[in-house]
Amino acid sequence: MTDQEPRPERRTEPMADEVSGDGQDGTETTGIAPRYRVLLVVAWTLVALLLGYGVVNIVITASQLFTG
Amino acid sequence: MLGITALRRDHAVAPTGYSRWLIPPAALAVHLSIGQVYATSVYRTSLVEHFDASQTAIGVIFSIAIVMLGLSAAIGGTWVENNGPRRAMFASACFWAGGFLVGALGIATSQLWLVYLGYGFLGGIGLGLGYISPVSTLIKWFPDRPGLATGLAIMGFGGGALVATPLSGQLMALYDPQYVAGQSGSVASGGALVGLFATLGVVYFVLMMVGVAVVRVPPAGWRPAGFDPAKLRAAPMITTANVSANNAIRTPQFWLLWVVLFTNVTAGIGILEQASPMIQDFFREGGVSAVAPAAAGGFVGLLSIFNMAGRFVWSSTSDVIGRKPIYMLYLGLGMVLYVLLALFGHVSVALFVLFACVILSFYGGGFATIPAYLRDMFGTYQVGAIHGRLLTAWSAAGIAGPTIVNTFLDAEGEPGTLTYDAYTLPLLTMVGILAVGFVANLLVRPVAARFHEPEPAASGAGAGKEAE
Repeated sequence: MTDQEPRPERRTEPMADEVSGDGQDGTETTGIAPRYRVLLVVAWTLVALLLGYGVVNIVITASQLFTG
Repeated sequence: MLGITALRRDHAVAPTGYSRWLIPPAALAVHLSIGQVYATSVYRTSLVEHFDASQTAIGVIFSIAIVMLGLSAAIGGTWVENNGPRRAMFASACFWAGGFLVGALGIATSQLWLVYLGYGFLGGIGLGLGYISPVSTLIKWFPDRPGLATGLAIMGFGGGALVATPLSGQLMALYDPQYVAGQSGSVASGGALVGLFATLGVVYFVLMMVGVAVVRVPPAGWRPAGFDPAKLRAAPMITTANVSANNAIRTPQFWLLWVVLFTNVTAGIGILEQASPMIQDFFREGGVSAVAPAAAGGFVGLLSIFNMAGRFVWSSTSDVIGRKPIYMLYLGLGMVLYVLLALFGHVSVALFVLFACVILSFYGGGFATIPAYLRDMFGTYQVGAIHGRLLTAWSAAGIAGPTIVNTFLDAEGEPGTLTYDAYTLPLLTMVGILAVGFVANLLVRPVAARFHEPEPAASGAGAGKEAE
């Protein structure tokens, strides 16, 4: 057993079973398990809060540029 | 022991019901943490006072960190690729948080060399490993939108300073009631700096471990629904073959892209490093600037926002218009904007801010789009390792950009007495540097087939290494 990255193959045609049947459709939310759906909301909310905190603070400081 | 096993690549394969949209926040947890490196100016003066050292001696801490970022990304890239994102993110978290804690010890004992060793050396290794750790995984999860995916993650590196700047000020004010965040001349005590470094070390370790827990690699052969690899084959500048990291550095494409990144970063860093004094100098008349130091600080913050936004917006746009055209925009329109800034930037503050902000958005876009460009050229096989090696261009630009600008400005006069015309030559020099990058980008062609991983060997080797 090794955890080495498997070497890739160049494909001549798409593999029939490449789209997993377990609902791992990255563009839709229909196949996402409930616990991962919750995790998605929590993770993106955390990101939005962190960035929002930073942007609001910077905008307050930057407003001095035009208000003197 | 169980924890170490969980870090292995084969234990990090996504289970049923997992969503690939969890990968960007996992990557952001790391990049928002290590992006703190751009917020060191908040406590720089306090460090100068505490160690009774020169600005240069304290600046060396940041320089060591950036050099180690480039070196560790270049040397550790293959290790990151082979061991997967979880182990790489974990290692990055240990180095980054450990760097803060050793740095805190250095401040507490007034040993500057310990800060060099901690934040500079150890933290720098954490920076390099952390920066490249999610890139390969993102590209594999988003073969249809690699620019968007890497743009989202690398946006975090720009956003890290946005979060760390106010947070650091507020933490120092918490640990030292005499300190007033943002007030010119206010200096935090040594104890407050120790508290700041220790707190940031712990907070960033926890945040990065969230990323470690969430990140997963896609199952072998996975692809998103509706994604047709045949469409990739139809695009002439996107390969479906794979090139190893060792072979990639033997190709002209790697070095052309190295030049593209180097020139884009050199030009951008020239402005970023000088942003605060530059806007004051541009609007100085009779020895007095119309832009106050506090407002100049706001301008620096505004540049950070555009630097961050450019990473996401332009990198996502590259998925639609292509990697080569977007770099023609960064470098070509960048040249025009540098000329406009040099000739008309002094006309009004709004115009100056507009030109500078768009330039900085291109600077950020250049960073965020390069992994997708590498994927297009070299395939997904060892794109993380190749990206790591390309980041040496960043380290080189980090030295070249400020050196070029400072050499010109030193010849013009003393800081605080310069006016806008002192910047004409350095800015026009940046136009020439961008022109070199523009030509390099034009010369990029698909990689020759002799550098591709041989198909039969790849299949055979792959069969032997299918551990997942």
